[in-house]
Amino acid sequence: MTQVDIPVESPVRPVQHLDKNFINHSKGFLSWALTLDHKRIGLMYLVGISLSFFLGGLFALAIRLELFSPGMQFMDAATYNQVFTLHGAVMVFLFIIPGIPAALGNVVLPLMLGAKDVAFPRLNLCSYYLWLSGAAFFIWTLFSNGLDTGWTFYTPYSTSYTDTSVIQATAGVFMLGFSSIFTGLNFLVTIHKMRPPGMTWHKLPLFLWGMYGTAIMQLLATPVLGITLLLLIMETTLGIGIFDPQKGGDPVLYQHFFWFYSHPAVYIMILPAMAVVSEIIAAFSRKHIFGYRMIAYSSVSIALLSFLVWGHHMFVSSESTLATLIFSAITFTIAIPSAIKVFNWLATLYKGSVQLDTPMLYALGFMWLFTIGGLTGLFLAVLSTDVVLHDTYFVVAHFHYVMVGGTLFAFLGGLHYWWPKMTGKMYSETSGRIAAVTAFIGFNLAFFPQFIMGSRGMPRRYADYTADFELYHRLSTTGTLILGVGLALLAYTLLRSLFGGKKAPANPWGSATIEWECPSPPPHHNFDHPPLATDPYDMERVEWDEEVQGYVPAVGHRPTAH
Amino acid sequence: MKFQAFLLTTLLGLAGASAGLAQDDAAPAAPTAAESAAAESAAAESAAAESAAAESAAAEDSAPAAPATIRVVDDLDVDAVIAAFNEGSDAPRQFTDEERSWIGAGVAPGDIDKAHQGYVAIPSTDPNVVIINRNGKELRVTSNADAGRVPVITPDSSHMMPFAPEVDNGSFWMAEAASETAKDVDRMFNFIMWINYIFAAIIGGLMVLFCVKYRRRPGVRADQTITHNTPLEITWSIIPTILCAIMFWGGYVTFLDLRTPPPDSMKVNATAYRWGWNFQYPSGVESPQEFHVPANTPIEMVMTSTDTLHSFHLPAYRSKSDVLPNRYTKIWFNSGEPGTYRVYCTEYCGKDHSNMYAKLVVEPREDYEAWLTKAGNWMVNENGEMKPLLEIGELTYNRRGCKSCHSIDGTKGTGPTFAGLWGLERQFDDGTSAVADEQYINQSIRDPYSQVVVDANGVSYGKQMTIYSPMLPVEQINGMIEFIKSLEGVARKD
Repeated sequence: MTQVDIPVESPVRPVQHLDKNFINHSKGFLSWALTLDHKRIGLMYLVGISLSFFLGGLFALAIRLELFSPGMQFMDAATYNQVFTLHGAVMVFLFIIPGIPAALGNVVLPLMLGAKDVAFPRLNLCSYYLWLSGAAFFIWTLFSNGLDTGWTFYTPYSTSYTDTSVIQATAGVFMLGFSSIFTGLNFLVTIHKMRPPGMTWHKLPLFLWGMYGTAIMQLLATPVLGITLLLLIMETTLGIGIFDPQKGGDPVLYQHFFWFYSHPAVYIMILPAMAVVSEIIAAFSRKHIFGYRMIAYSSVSIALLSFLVWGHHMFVSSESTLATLIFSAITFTIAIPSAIKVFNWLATLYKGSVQLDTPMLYALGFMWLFTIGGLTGLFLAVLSTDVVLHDTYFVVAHFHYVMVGGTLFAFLGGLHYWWPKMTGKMYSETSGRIAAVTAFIGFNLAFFPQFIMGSRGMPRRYADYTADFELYHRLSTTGTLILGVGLALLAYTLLRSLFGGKKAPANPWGSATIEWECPSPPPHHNFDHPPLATDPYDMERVEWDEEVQGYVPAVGHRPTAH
Repeated sequence: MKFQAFLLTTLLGLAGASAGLAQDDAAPAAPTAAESAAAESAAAESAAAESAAAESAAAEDSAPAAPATIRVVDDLDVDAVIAAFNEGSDAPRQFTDEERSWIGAGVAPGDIDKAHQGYVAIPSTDPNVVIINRNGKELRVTSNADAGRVPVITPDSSHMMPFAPEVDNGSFWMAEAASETAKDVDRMFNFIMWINYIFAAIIGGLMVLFCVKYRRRPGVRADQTITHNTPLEITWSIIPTILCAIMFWGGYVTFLDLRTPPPDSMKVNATAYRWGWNFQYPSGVESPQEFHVPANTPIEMVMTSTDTLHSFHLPAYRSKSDVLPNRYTKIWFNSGEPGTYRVYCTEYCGKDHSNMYAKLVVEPREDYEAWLTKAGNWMVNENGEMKPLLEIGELTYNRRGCKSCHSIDGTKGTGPTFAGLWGLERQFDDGTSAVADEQYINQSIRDPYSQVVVDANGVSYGKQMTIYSPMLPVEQINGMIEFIKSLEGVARKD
């Protein structure tokens, strides 16, 4: 526990910037389109999912403006149904699921391992093109007949009653599923086989533990979605009766299949978010993460338990009483590891040295919003209260707190955290903070009123409503506009930094994980020598250096034994 | 509507709408709503249009600047109207000055209460603007279709009929509970809500406290020795586990109550279709969109769907179940005290999902029995004779949900309009055609997908229609034929 200062004459500062980095070492369209570099693929993903997020956001705005007043404002009910469907489908399949793993994970994961690339770089590029094809199918859907089934494609509506482009959309989701599977497979093998010397499983940064849990779910659950959608396409095109009772099928079977994937998918969305937040909280508290093993194990236990709770989406869809009992009980077991994580993050702040920079603001925002999202999940896990709240705005508010307040905020936190590493530029801290606070306020105003109207009976997916819900809807729409302003400022802040931002040092935040040891942005091959891994949360391993305006390895630091 | 067109109009509309919202929250600029205007307010509007015709040209030119005020109809004798209203009444009603000004603008005295709730519009000096007084707050709503759309909400509106006002009661979080089981659900809801408050306060409070107290200061280092604390971690794992176990068990017990009907409960069958409900009583009586039950009686609902998934949601009784094709699902509730309650469809079922409402009326047993008799005899007049076929047809049109898709004023809806349909040559999406005669109408009702019509642009209406063959007896089909015949020659606007 004692530290001995060893005087060293002239510390050698690590290289902060390189003239040739992964962004400019080769030029031309093909050098990006055919790249096998995980960092370039990650950046291309980042551009793609950001555009998807923008598209999904426009749909969200259209929904909220339509619901500003009772009655129909500027679209008819059929159009409204298309808009909420496309909002959900674009956000879930094109943005949230690939968001953190494919965009941030691709850039960061090999760097964190001190590796040159992921295990299968070609598979990685293939996964990107599958994502692109899936996105292209969605655009095709938009410009053919649209889609009005809800993002869940519930049968028999989707197979027998709608005349919208279900086949294009499901084919798109099928491809996006394979994109997700390839990413998961790649990460799983990379984490298993390419860890640097010294990085035992218990020295694995928590971001990688989260990615590991996510990869297990991507690999095991997504094929079920693929099979389900194939069956759906077969029923629609060939008339084989699988889900439509008029053809001899069973619509509830579809719900079982769908949620067998889509419940793990909820954790595919949130586990990476928790992983990002674990990194940010430790870095900006300059303190060793509290309860490392509990956080790591809870990631894996959430991943495994997530396969056993799909039935809680179906408490009121004629599920047997015994099945509801079992699914409700198992659902509560997931609440425990989630709660443990929140307590561990809190304890990490205790006696830390807390700096409220932009990534930390997002991480703290995440903690609060995820806490609300998680606590309100209790109402939906309890059978009696779920019956009344099921398919109301309470559920809408709950999952937006988890998906947007949770995953989106963590994604934005991670984006700001690794932005200097990815682009080599520092953004304006002031406007970054203003954007974060604005988004936080707007988000709460947008979604908290939805809890109230939901528990008072407002059903979800309604194009119109009665006057007694007007106040809540107006607050919600106002909040959405504020959230939009926050996000626009965020986009401006980051884009501005690309052109006028200061050069980023190798380690601007004082993190102790390996990715901060290579220059910003990293060279094509990441590291000259394979780095040696130590405790990823030994924050005093690095110290502030005025000259480089960043953190450099501390002179004479001896790792603290724990 | 085609989606490409929508994308363009939405982007344009967004700019317009957000500009409009920015201008004035209280007056959501907007409009029309012919479909939803109640008979009386529609009449009032058109009267307004006529009498104000002279000013309107000038008003349109000079513009949006001049604010619309409540109209005064010069030749209307308010006192005489009120006297006529109060005639023969034991307790003549007194009207306030504000109410008198509404009557002077053309609102019927009997509609004043509805006008206070915002369900009847008050004509203004601007023929394009009506005034809605919703809960004491005045909204000025223009009926100019180009300015956006906010229909006047009326009790008789086909769009989002307001149900009972009882949802305004209850607590901050929940509408008033109508049964003991519902109160059990609320007790659990409140218990979980307290857990929410306490944990949110602890987590949020500590988060803020730590961020302030341990903010970064020069020369102060984080305490690197705190990396884990096994007793603490075990404690904060066990306490939530115990709370979860309590919630799980309490929720399960009440859930069993919600799912287990008493053996003596009265049975009501419900059939869901796109987009409406049909309720059937053991005696064979049927009632669409509205059902009555006797007070303080356990009611068991046995439900199925004729097409897609639906869900029967009774918020006041905290009860809900999905309704599926080819399956029967059941819920029950104790009807409790008399009142009117909302029924929502909460499983997305297509275009008019948000219109798929029904009304539950709980009333004393005598009233219920009287209603049941009347409901069973709706095709029969007071003298016990069958009503004329045309009248049966019109009632069928209004009761069976035809009107939600097929207009009679010529406008195009989800389905083709009935106006001027009789005798028309119909083009089907398989290329064939037929003349709209008795057999065509009969087949369209019983087996709609065998002949799907295309619209004026040659686009198929698609498989939207409910298949009525198991539900509609022959008198009602004959009535529909007469009803459609009566609309022969009415102008079509599709």
